[in-house]
Amino acid sequence: MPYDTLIPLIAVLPLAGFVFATLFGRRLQADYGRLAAAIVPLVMVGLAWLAAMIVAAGALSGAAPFGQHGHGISFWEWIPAGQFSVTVGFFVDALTACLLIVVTTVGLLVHVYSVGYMSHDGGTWRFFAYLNLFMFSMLVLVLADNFLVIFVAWELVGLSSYLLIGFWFPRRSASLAAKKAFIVNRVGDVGFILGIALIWVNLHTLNVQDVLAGIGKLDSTTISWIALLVLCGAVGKSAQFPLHVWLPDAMEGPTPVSALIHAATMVNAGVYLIARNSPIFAQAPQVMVVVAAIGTFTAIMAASIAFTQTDIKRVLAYSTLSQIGYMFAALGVGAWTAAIFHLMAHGFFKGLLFLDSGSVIHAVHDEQDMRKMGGLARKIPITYWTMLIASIAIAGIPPLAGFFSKDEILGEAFKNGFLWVWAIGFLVAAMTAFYMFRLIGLTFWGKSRVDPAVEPEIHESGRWMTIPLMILAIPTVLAGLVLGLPFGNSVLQGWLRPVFEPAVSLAGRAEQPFALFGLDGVLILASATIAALGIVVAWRLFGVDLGPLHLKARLDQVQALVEASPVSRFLYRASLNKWWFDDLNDLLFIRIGGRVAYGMWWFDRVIIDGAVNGSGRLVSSAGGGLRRVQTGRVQNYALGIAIGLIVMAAAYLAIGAGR
Amino acid sequence: MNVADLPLLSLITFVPLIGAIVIAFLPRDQPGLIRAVALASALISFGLSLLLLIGFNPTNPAFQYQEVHDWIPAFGIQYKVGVDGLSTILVVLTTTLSWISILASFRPIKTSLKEYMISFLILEVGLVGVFISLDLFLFYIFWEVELVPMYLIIGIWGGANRIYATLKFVLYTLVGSLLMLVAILATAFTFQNATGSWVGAFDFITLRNFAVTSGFVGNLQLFAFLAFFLAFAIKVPMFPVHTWLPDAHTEAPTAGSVMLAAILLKLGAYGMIRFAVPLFPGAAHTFAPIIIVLSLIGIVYGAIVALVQPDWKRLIAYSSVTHMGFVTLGIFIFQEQGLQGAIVQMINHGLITGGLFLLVGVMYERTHDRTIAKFGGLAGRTPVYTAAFGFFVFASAGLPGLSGFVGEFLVLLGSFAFNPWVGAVTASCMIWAAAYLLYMFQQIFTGQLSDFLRGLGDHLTDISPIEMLTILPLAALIVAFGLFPGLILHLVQGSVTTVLSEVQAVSAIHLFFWQ
Repeated sequence: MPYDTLIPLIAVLPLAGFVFATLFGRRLQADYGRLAAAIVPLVMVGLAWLAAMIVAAGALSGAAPFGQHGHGISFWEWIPAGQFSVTVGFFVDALTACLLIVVTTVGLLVHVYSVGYMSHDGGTWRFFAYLNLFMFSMLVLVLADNFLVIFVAWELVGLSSYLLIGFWFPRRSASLAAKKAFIVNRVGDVGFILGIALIWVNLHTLNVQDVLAGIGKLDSTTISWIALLVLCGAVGKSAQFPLHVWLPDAMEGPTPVSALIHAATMVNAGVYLIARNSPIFAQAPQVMVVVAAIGTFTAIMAASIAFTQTDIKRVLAYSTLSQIGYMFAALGVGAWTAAIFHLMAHGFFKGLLFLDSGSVIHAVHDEQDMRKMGGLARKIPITYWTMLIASIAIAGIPPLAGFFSKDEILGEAFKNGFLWVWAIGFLVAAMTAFYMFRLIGLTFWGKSRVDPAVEPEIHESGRWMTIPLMILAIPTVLAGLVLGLPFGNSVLQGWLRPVFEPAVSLAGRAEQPFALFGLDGVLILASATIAALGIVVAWRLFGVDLGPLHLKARLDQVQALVEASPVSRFLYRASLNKWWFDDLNDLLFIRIGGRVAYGMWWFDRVIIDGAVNGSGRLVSSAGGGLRRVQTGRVQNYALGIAIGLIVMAAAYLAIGAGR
Repeated sequence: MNVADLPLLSLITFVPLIGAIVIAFLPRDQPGLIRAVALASALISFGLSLLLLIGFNPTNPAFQYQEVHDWIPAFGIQYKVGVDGLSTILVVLTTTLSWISILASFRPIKTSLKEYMISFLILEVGLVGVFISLDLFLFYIFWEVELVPMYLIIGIWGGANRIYATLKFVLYTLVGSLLMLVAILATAFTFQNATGSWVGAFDFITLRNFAVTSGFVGNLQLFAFLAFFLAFAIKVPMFPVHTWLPDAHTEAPTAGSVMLAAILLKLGAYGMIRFAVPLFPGAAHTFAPIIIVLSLIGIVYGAIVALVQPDWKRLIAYSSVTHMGFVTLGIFIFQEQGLQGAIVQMINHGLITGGLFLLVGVMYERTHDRTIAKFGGLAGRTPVYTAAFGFFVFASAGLPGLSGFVGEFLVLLGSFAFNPWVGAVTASCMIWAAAYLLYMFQQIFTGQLSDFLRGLGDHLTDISPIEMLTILPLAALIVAFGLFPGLILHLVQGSVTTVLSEVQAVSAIHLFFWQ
C-alpha cells in the first residue's frame, strides 16, 4: 500500500475500533464474553502497529517520499474563517517515526496485557473502547502537521486520560483524580492555546513546518513569548513542576493505563512538543534555561518523594516525573536527540515497570502497599525477572537502555556548560538507582509480609500478561545498544540529525567530537559508578536476594538514618508529604478559591439581584400611590403607554435636533 | 407553481400559527391528536426551513427570499422579510429546536396540554419572525409576540417559584424592549426629518444605507444605540443584567428552558449584529470598550458563580452567562475571526445548552429534584444517559472536535489579535469551564448510587428511545459542526463581511458629556 494510505490508517484504525467498541461492545460482551468485546479493538491496534512500523521504516530509511525532511499529506480544510484557515493534515519525519514506534509498540502490548488484566472486570468493552480512543488521539498528536490539530489531539488525550483514570467511577478517589488531571492539564493548555494564537497573529499560519520555517522573521521577544506559552502546555501534559500534581493521583486508573498513558506515551507529549518546536526554543535561550530548570528541579524533587512512598505505583509515578524531568533538562541544554533517546528508552522500561507492578498487584489480590509484599521473587518469577531488568535499566547500569540515554543527557549537559544540570542529574541518577532497588527489595526480596489469607493464592499472571512483559524486556535490554552506538555518531543521531539540524545550528553549538578515552569516558564511568552506588546502598538497607547474594534487610538502619538529625527528619517528612504541594493547592484553590466563589454568588444574589428587586419594589410602592390611575381598562393603559412613548420619542428628537 | 415562487419565509413563520389555530379547535380530551398536530406543524415548518437552507445562495451577500407588502403605508411600515446567512442559520436552529422541544414535552406536560402546545407554536412564530424581519416595526412586533407565550410557559407549567421567575423575566425584557421601541420611533422620525418622506423610515435596508452614507447625528446615535443595546443585552443576557436568567431557566419546564437557552438568548446577540451595530456604528465604537469589559466580567464571573451552584439547572444557567459572554465579546471587538466565532458560538450554545437542558429534564422526569447534592453514582445505573450527558458536558467544556471548541477558539483568536490580555482572560475560561462542568459530572454520575436515587427504585430508568430521539439530532450536529465548521462559516461569511465593512468604515463618536 502506498504511504499516503498507510499514514492516515495508523490513526483511523484505532478510531474505528473505538467506534465499534462503543456501539457494539456492551452487547458483544454480554452475549459472547469479554474476549469478544476486546478482540476488535485489539486487532485494530495490531494493524495500526503494522502500518506504523512500515511507515516508520520508510521514514527512517529516508525512502521516497519521505527523504531527509519528511512527508506531509493534507485532508480537508477544517476551519475556514476568512483569513484564518486550518487544514487537517499529517506529517511524518524521523521524529514522528520514533514516536510512532514507541506509541504503537507499547500501545499494542498494553492492549494484549489488558485482555488478561481486565478479565475480571465487567467493563472490559468500555475499557478497550477508551484505550482505542486514546491510541487514536495520541497518534493524531504525533502525526498532526498543524498546531491547532495538535491541540485537538492534546485535548483528546486529556479526555481519554480522564475517562481511564476515572474508569472505576464508583470509587470516589478515582473520579476525583480524573477531574484533577483534566483541570490541571487545562491550566497548561491555556498557555498552549494562547501560544497558538500568538503564532497565528504574527505568522498567519498554523502549519507546523511553515511556522518553523518562518519563525526567524520575528523579533526575539515574540519568539520567547511563543516558546514560553508552548512550554506551559508541555509542562501540564508532561506533569512537570508546578503542574506535576495530577500524575501521582492518576494512578487511580487501572494499571495498564498507567503504563500506557502515564508512563510511555501521553506524558511524553510535552517532550515531543518541545522537540518538534526545537527551532523556536533554540531562538529563545532564556526559555531554554527555564526548560532545563523545570526539568532538573522536577527530576530531583520527584526522586526525593519516591524515596518514601509505600504504594508501588506511586513510586513508579514519581519516578516517571523524575525521568521526564531528565528529558526536559536535556531539551533545555539543547541535547535534543538525547531527550528523544531517553523518551524512547523510558517508554519501554517504564511501560514494563508499570505492567510488572500490575502483575504484582494482581498476584497479591489488589494490594498496592509494598509494606504488605515482600519475598515475591520466587512466586512470580517472570514478573520478578522482567522487573529486575527494567530496574537495572532505569538505574543506568550498562549496557541496558537507560544507561545510554541518561548518560547522553548528562554528558551533553556537562559539555554544553550546564554544570548545575549535570551535577543535579548526577545526584538524581544515584537516587533513581536507590529508590528502584528499594522497590525491588520491598516487593520481591526478604520475608513475605503478605496477608496470610492471600499468601497461598499468589501465582504468576497468565500468558496474556506475561508475554507482553517478556517482549518489552527485549527493547529494555537492547534499545541502548541498537540506538545508542557507536558513541558520538549513533544510529538515533543519524535518524534525527535532519530534524534537529536547524535548532543545533541556531543555538550555535557545534557538535563536539566524542572521546571515549577522554572526557566522555570519565563521565560515563562516573555515572555508571554513582548508579551502582545507589543500588548498593539500597541493597544494604533493604536486603539482597540476587542469585548467590543474600543480605538481610536492615530496616532498623533506615529508621536510624531518618532520625539522625533535624535536617534528615525534615527531609523525610517533606518526602513523605510530597513537599506539601497538594496541601498548598488545596488551600489556594479549594478553600480560598471556594470562599471567593461563594462570595461572588452572594454578590450576585444580594447586590445585583437585590438592586433589581429593590427597584421593582420601589416601582410597585409608587404604583400604590397612583392607584387612582388604575382603572382596570385596557384602553386607558394603551393610551398611557402611547402617550409615554410619544413623550420619550419627542425627547429623543429634541436631543437629536439639539446637535 | 414553481417552488421558488412560494413565500417560503412566511410559510415557515406562519405554519406553526395555523397549527396553533387548529389545536384551538381540537377537543381537550384528545391529547394524542393535539400532540400530533403540534409536532406535525413544527415539522412542516422545519422541513420548509431546510428548503430555505438548500435554496440559499451563500455567495450573494444581499437579503434573499424577500417578501414585501405594504402594511401601514402612511408611515412607510411594511411587512418586509428576508434572510441573509446569519438569519438563515438561526431560522433553521429555531425550527429544529422547536420540534425537538415539542417532542420532549409529550411526556412531561400533563396539565393544560392544549394551551401549552398553542403557546409553544406561537413562540415559534415570534422567534422565526424576529430573525426574518427587515422592517423595524415588524421586528418589534415579533419581538413582543415571542414574550407572551414564554411568560405563560414559565408561569403556568414552571416549577415552584414560577410566578416570581416569570414576572422577573417579563419585566426585565419589557424595560429593554420599550426603550428599544422608543429608539425605533426616534430613528424613524429622524429619517423622516432628514429625507422628508416616510418611505423607508422603518425599512432596515434603507436605514442601514442611510446610516452608512449620511449617518445618524451623534447624540441620537448614542441614545438609540444604548436603547437597542440594553434591550439586547438583557436578552443575551450580559453581566450585570443577567439575574433574570438563573431564575427563569430554573423554573421553566424542560422545553421552556431549552427554547430559552437555545433561541431566546440568541435574539439579543442577533439584534446586536443585525441592528445595533450596523445602524449606529459610531456609537457602537464608542461603547465597545465598556461592552468588552462587561463581556469579560461575564465570562469569568458566570463561570465562578457556576462553580458553587447547588441546583443542576441553575449551574447550567450560569454557564450560559459565560458562553454568551464569548458571543458579545466576539461581536464588539469588530474583527473577522471574532465575529465569526461569535456566530458559531451562538449556534453551538443553542445546540449544547439545549441538549444539556433536555437531558436534565430527562432526569427531572424521574427524580423530580434538581439538587446536585442529592445525586450520585448515576453512571452505574443509567449508562446510556451518562454517556449522553458526558458528551454534552465535554462539548460544553469546549472539547476540540466538537462544535463548542470552534466558536470559542475563533473568539479567543479574535480577542487575542485585538489585545493579548483580553485573549488571556478569555482563554482562562477553559479552566473554569472544565472545573464547574466536571464538578457537576462527578457529583451526579460517579461514586456510589446516592440514597435519594436508591429510594426511587425502579423509577430510575435509563433514557428512553423517544428521549434519545430528541438528543441525537443535536449530538449529530455538534459533531458535524465540530469537524466541518465550514458549514456555518461559509454561510455567514457574507453577513460578517457586510457588518464589519460598515462598522470598520467609521470611527467612534465622542460621548457628549466628554466634549
